[in-house]
Amino acid sequence: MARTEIIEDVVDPAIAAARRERLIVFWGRIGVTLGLIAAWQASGTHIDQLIFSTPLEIARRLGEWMSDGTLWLNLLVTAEEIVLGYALGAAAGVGLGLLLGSFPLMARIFDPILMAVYGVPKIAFGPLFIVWFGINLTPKVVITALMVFFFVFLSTYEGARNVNRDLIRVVKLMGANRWQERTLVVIPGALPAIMLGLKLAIPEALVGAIVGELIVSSRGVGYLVQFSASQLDSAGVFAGLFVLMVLALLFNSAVNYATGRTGRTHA
Amino acid sequence: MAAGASQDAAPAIRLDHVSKWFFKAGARIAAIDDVNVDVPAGAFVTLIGPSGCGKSTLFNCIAGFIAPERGAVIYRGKPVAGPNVGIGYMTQKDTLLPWRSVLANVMLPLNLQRLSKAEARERASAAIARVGLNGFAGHMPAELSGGMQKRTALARMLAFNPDTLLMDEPFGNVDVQLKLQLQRELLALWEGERKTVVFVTHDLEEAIALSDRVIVLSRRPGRVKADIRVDLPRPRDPVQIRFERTFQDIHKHLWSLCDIATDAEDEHG
Repeated sequence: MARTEIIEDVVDPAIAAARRERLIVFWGRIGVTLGLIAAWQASGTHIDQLIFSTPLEIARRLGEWMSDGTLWLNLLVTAEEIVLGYALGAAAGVGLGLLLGSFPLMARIFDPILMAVYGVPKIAFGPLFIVWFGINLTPKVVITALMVFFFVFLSTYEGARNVNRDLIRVVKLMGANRWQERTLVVIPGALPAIMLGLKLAIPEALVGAIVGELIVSSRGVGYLVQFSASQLDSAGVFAGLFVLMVLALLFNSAVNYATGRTGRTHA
Repeated sequence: MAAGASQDAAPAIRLDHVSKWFFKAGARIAAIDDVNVDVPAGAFVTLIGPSGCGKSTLFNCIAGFIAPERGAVIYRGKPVAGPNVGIGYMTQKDTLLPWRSVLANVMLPLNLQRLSKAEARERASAAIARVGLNGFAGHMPAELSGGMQKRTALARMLAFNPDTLLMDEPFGNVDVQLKLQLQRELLALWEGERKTVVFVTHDLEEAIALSDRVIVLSRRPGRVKADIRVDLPRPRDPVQIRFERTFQDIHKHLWSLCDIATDAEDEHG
């Protein structure tokens, strides 16, 4: 087509401006975060440390947990609950979402049941699951799975329902059977919505696991928070919260990485 | 074309007293009323008519997406029941799969015909070359211009190689120059292979330039108002043909039949 000549090796001013903006945001974030931590630490002499603790105190507690193995033991328990629950809930959500998304009649039949369960705060199922599944891993996995399920299911269902009908018609005329319609059009068409659901469900998975641990547990990061609070150890509570924060970020980037790889086809 | 005399006599598509109606707010609204049309194998037939005259409804009946309330659609001697697998369908709307490359889109019908990967790739590449998209096989549809997307759809239809093409305003959304070019390409392809084509358009000039016959439908309910033979020599050039006397006569005649001035007011009514 048309030939483009390179006249001069100059940087597009728009790109330069964007680069400058990125730098401002990057250092701005670091500055604000460090500033807040420093202010917290400095105010340590004026506020009740028993309630608010200080960043140094929290760091010291984290260090203790790391060296005596408390952190790793409990982190592993919570991570296992999250990963298992997320995987189960996501698989069920995608499966049922695609199924009901492509069979509208079935969707209408199941709709009231699903919406009734969806409406109940999942935490309220906690005691029931403890009665059913005991106090160890299983009830936390189930509650996590339930929370993840609805996020993934609803977005998958919407995605599958909104797939362009004309595309389905076209492949039908090319001789596609029902299964091929699903694999060639419905699933790839719903993929962006599925990916979005999978991302939005991550914080839900954490909530599920931690809430489960808060109800009853003898291990896990939620247990650490609960136990520290019962000892009036606010540094321990904050240390536990910090661990959860890191866990959420790690999980988020793992799913971002995974969805980024498969979602790229749509760009 | 190679078929014997007895098959030549039977039309590729026969619309036999086709009527179709819809219900809107409890009232029965006729979309198509008693339409009888025979499309011979290898013919290029165009339907024109005001918006809402049931052209698309008629199309969907031939494609087998909807069934007429009365009458029958006979395709190659058999009544159409369910999606009419094996006909090519191209609409104004873009029906490429956005997550597949140009090559993968063109290969789709061949994959569904269970062709080997190598053969599918070869035939798809040939079709892509034929519509002048060499070098764009790896592009995604979103990376192409509107005209190139239409060409990709055309290439997909070529690779599919159906006996019958249904084209519902396929060049509706493109600028005049590109439209002429696509028409030229379509005519060249059709003159080579003589497939049966049923074409729908709002553009009277397009209808005359391409077709053997132009069928004028009335306002709703759609009825056949006129069936006009286009006696222009082939091969045709869609640009040059406009200056022929016969073309202009037919054009004038169609205008008088269509009364576009009043119809245009209730676009998409």
